[in-house]
Amino acid sequence: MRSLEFIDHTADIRMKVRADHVAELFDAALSGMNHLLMNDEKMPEGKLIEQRIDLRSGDLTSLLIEFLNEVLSLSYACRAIFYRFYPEVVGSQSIRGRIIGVGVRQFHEDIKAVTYHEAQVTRGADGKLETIVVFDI
Amino acid sequence: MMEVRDHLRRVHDFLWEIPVTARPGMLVPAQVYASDRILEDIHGDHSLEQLTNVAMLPGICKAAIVMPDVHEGYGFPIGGVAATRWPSGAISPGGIGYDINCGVRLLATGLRREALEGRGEEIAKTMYAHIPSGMGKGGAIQLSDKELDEVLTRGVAWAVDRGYAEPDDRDFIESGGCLSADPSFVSVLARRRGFDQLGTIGSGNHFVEVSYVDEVFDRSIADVFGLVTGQVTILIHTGSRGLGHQVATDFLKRMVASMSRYDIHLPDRELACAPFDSEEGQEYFKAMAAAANFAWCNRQVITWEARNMMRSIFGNDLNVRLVYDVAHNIAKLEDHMLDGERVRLIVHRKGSTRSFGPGQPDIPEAYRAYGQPVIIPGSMGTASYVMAGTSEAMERTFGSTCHGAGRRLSRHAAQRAVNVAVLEKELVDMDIHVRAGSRRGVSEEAPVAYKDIEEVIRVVHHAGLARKVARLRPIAVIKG
Repeated sequence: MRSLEFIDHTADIRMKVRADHVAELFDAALSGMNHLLMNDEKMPEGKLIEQRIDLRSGDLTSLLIEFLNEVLSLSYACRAIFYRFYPEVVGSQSIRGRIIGVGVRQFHEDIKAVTYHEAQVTRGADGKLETIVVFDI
Repeated sequence: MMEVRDHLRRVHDFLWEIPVTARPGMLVPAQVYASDRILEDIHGDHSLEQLTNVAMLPGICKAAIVMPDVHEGYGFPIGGVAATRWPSGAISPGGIGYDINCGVRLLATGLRREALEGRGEEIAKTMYAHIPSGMGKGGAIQLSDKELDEVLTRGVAWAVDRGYAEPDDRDFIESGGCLSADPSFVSVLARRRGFDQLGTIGSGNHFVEVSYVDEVFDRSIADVFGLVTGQVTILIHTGSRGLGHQVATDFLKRMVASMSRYDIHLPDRELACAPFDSEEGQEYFKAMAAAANFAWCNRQVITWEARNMMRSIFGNDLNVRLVYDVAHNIAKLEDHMLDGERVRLIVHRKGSTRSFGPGQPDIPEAYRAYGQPVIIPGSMGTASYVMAGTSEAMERTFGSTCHGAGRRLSRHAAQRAVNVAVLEKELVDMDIHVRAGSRRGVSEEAPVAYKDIEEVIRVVHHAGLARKVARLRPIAVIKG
């Protein structure tokens, strides 16, 4: 079971994300970012856009941040919200899969980047994975 | 165990220091320019801890320094300055920020405030129609790959050739509006994010503001800068937009991965860095320069839009002169005196402005005897300041000073604290007219969300980091 919480930050937006397993953590974090970009639970209708993700990183935390940044960059480059991630490979140092989205006319938030600030994926006493993600806006 | 803050010791009225012994790994002390009140404002954030992390950068010289508009950032605190020794000291994208060459430009017009009496609303509305603003919005200029390469390589010279500039503009931009760049190190994604964003201000705390000179503090310097009381001015605050954000993201990722290869270990991934003369260091510097060139072109095209807007209201003969353009998120190669010797340094300014003093060759000839103009924007509805660089800044802070008021409230806290309708009425009662992309943007950027600009300027002036020249007050503001 996953959860998202937005917490105060002086200049930007801080999100706490929790999930049962790695793929769910990535999906939950993606939902949180899309919530900022669109501020609307309901995805817009439109022609579907597909992009591939294929990333490697030194550790799980860096991989999560780099995944979110890749999707963010593609969101702005394609002017789309990528609301579904179909993983083919999800490990602690690599991730591969497809993201599916729809085009949008305007974004609700201008996120400069997903930062590494305060990010550290850990497993809590309840067995859930959790991390903070800070968005520079 | 002592907190970082507990190690702070006052050196003089507005300078505090955390000694190099405060934390393992620090190579130099951390210096904080602040008043007691400003220190209280940052009590709850991590800016001092971040500053002590900066003090661990390989090759750092003298001190990790922060200005009185300090607040928590990523890697570096906002308001941070750090100089590392060339050629192999570190260069860190976190010391520049995601918005490469975010900066401010000041234009001076031939109008007096009286000419705008009762017309603030009209000017705000016309500005909003002429100058694209808002989230992820593109502008009228769509650059081909070849044109984008030219912008990234030539900076403002591209805009001059295409008629977006007046003859003298380039002389009054820091670094002549161009750093030596290599656009081949700017990624495809960065290009896709930037190709249609020239001439757009973006959102957040970026703005264009028509203002007037409310008070002159130093008549002789104001005369040289061409500013008089009552004169109508224009401020433009924006940066490299999505292109710059992507360059920063791309290279931060690369340096996080490569740091251990250079045996660099730092407590914060956002401080990831590489030796300046390494492959990663050189490629980042050249890509950063390309993004900086894009930002200067962006502010130049917006200047053209602002000139057109003012002339559409006040006539084609209206003089709108560029006073100066400063960068406040950038790294530069500069020569400074260090322990009696002239040395080349990589100076990182993250939310801080160059403040070169009298006689410095990089200053336009017209201003050189007095120091460069330093433009410090306040928050929405409050004053902005024009200052002059000083010799004291050259000695103490590698010729650097603050960049603005600095945030003190989170965006959510500002939204909770501010009644937008009441704020809008208060602004109109002060004859300040705002057009913003959203009411949320108005509340997030309300004056209460920022430190008191008067306090920041007081510290900077009395610490000798810049000298007050003039104060500007807003008339019409547009924000994304």
